Amino acid sequence: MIHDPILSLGVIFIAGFFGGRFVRKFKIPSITAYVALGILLSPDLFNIISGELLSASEVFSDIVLGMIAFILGESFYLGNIRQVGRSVVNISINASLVPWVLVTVGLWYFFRLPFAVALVYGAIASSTDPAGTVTVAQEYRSKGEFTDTLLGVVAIDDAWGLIIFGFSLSMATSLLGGVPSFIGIFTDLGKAFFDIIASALVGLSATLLFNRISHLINSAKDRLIYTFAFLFLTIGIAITLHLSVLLSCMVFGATLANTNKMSFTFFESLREVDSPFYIIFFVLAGVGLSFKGIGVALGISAAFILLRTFGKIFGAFIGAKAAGSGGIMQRYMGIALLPQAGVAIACALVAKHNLNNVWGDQILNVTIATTVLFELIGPWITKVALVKAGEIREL
Amino acid sequence: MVNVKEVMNTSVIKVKRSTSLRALLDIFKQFHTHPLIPVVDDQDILIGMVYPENLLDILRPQQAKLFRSLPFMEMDQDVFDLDVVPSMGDLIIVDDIMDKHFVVAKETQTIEQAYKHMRMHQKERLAVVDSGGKILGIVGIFDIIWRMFKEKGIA
Repeated sequence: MIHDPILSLGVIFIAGFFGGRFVRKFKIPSITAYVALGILLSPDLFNIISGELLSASEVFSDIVLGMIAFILGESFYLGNIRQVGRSVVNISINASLVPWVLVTVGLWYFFRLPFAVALVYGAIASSTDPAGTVTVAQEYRSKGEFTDTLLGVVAIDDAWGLIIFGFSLSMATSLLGGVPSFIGIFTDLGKAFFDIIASALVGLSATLLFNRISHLINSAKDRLIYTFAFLFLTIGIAITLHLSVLLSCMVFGATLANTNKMSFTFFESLREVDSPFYIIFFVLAGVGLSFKGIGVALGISAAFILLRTFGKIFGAFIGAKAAGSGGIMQRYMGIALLPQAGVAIACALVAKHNLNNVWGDQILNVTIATTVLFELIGPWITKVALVKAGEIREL
Repeated sequence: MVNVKEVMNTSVIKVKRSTSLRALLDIFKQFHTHPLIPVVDDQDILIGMVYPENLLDILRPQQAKLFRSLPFMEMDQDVFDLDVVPSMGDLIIVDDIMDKHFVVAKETQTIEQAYKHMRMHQKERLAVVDSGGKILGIVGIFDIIWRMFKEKGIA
């Protein structure tokens, strides 16, 4: 084991650098390499990461989830939403909501999981993998209405997924911490709604203050420091008040994108420096995988895969039908949305820290296992959907 | 302090949103370094900006802009592997690829303010507009440096 946390970070960065380069040769997103690296370095295998760094994992996950939520908040820029069109909005919302409901109900009813835990699984099921879908579309030079709609959907559906997750996690933490009684359930739900609204207010206040004094910035360095300052303040205030980091940061990003004409420059400055944070985050997610619980989680993983697959297919079908899209869109859009990656793992790691019990470990195990499977077969299935839609020729 | 209007270049090459990709490429070819081309409407109001890197968005302009705002995206469009056909030169227009979010200098700014503005946004040139958004010229870092050297008696 490396005892020094800084040396551990050095090892993570250099291994992440080579791992990312290696998997990109096979058109696999870099985050897959980072998670695999984390599994290799974990205490259950080579046990290389310093304990001090592992104990800081929760801090990293809050910071990175805050960054992800803030950046995804920009997807709610109204100009973009208007531009992508009705069918994309309809499909993306339904293909996020239906898997959430189906996975939640399925795992709660058939596997007897606590409703709160099933709710978190459901929320994780709603996210997709834009990088994987874009790679397939680019590699096979896919063209046409189906491809354009698919790319539009994956560009915005993780934002819906993150809102659903923020809402579900607030509910889950209230439900798991509450008294198991009829009145208790209503009290918990009331608390969850209060948390959600308070989290949104934290994000909104951050934007108001951000816009009020942003004229003081007069260099690119200032802009980055200013963006980090407000992001960390939002994350810190949400944690201090026991609110949702995710919803606070997402509302901060979304309201900033819609109220500040220069907002794109703040998002850009953050994107220029975010990669090292993601490497640490996903490596630590891999380190967090617990081999002891894998056997128990196999059944849940299989059910998660089946329910999520059906949910995506059915959700996209409903969305495409409601938007008046053609039969091809209704039939094949759902299977094209199966890849799952970064946002799902990010949500699972946050769930692990927030639920802080055996359920949290199980959620991370199931999410990593199913992500690996969806990463392996998802791009192939997306390709099949594009062939069926007649927008690429070969299989 | 010197006003930005005094140092800006007023002979600006502009395009309309309906300008074809082929015509745009011809215009870009006239520049040697760091070109930016303002896009204006019929009243000369600045509505967008085209940079050379926007040319790589020609295959999926709308999605390219959306994906740029997502975390963990590795969008390296390979210029040597673009799947383009000659007809795209006329079918794709400036409106498909222009940046609708852009940074400008106001005509009332001093050159010191414009210089800070450029440093802050890491741009080497900015379009100068009046209070109504009408384009008046382009100011570059070199214009400002040259003016300062001139004031010191060097240029």
